[in-house]
Amino acid sequence: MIKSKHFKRTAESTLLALPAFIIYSCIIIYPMFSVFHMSFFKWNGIPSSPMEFVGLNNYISFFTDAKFQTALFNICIFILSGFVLILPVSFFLATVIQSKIKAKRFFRISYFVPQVISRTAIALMWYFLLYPEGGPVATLFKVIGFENVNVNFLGSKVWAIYAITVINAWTYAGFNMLIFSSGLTAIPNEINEVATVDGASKFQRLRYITIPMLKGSFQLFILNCVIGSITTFEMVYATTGGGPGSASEVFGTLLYKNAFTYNNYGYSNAIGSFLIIASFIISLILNAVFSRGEKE
Amino acid sequence: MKKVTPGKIIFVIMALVFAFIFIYPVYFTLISSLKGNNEIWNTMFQLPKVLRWDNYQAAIEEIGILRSVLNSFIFSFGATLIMVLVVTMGSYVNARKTIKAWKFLKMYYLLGLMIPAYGMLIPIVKMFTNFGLRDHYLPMILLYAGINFPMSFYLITGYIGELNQEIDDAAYVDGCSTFGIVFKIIFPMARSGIFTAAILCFLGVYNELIFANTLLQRKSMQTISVTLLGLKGERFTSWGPMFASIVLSVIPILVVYLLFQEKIEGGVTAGAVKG
Repeated sequence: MIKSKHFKRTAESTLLALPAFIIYSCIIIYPMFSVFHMSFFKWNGIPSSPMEFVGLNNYISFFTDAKFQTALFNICIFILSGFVLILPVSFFLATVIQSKIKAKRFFRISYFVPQVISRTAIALMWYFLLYPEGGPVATLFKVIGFENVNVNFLGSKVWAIYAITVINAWTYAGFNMLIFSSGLTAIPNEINEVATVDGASKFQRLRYITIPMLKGSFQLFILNCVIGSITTFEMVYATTGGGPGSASEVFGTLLYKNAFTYNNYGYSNAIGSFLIIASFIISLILNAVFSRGEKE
Repeated sequence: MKKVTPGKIIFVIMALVFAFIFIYPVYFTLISSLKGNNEIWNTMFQLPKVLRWDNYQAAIEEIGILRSVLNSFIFSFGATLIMVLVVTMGSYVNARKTIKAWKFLKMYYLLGLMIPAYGMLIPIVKMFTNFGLRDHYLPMILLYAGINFPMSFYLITGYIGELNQEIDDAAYVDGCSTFGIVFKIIFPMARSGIFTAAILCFLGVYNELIFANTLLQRKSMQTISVTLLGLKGERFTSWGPMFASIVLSVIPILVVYLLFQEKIEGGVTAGAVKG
């Protein structure tokens, strides 16, 4: 009797778990192995044309391509912008929504709003804001006296990637604000009160109480910043598409263009498997480093 | 009485400056959507003198933005519905460890959380082309449900794991089937956690660009992201309709955000994990 009940539970549980397993396997796992497999072939994407086995050639030509270096450089700029731009700004925003400022809900909503807007809409909005002939940013530069600056930022080979990281920071600051703000909520008020009574200055409290206690938030920020930068795609694709030329290319845009512009599907899949493996390994490493820090 | 120190004044001014930086692009888009070409570039702060509603008429009739909004909604609702059903069933089994494979499944699904979905773009496009699935609603909905699966699974399993197990254990002893437990007990009890995952999935699908842009080619199937991206390339004689299209595609999601602000913010932080 009990045994049959147990058997029924196992059978039902298997049925319950099955749809999830099938959908996930079909849409994530099977294509993932297909990416690995196809990355060893040369293929122009036409179903009837044959796939030619080329071994590691796709990987070799990808890693030796000048565009790979451009993409790597641009992704480093993305990561860097996370630390010099998003980190301080979102930390400040977190202190604003945790402070006793009036109209807190207004500030909270206005900082977070970009996060829910489609990246394409954001790209289009900033396309107009950065419009070189009379757009608001161009006008601002003129008003504050930089008349000789080339204000066509998104169209400049040098400045395009920096302009994108600014748009990216504008988009993600609110998200990271919440990460820091939930970390700040977890710090008990008493600690700060006791420290204040003991004569600790504002800076000392920040240095010796707030920042150490926000370790978890900083780890989460670093993880999201690094992985998010390596896999960044939509923002670049929607703003410059990797251009002008290939100045603002990242791995995502290279993957897309090689497949759908140059019909180099095997090459594209080599980029895909590089991305899959890189983000997998980096999240494993970062998680291991952070959890070891926890134990000590 | 609280003291007003210079530090506090600077703090409030900085807070306001940032509020301006984050709000102004949205405000600029909104006012420009009701202006003519010259007025857009000549007055960047003022409200429009004459409300040019014909911009909206052009956005709807010529650009067909409402159709795209509808499509985005169909994909989001469909994917969210399927995701909730499939994930909650699977999550229960894993949270209560009722099958031996739960450990394997946990690692198996965790993998999906660590890799970017668009890495698999080409095999998925190939699959859609081979089976003639492009430009259809259901395959796209299933695809989106699958892409959002790892994150939702992580959130919902975590939520169910924290629920009191005594209730469903009692139901099991009383002879309730496992299906009965999931649909009659877990769904209502975990609705808050499920809703958080659902709204994140909804947001993600509504705004998704890459898969929609490659798999949807018929204009009548395109989502807001695809339509808006298409506008960038075109040379328009007037800018107003483009701004109006942005406004019309963003308004629904802003309404969703303002209605469920705490849920969305809570969900975004809870989901801020990479593996």
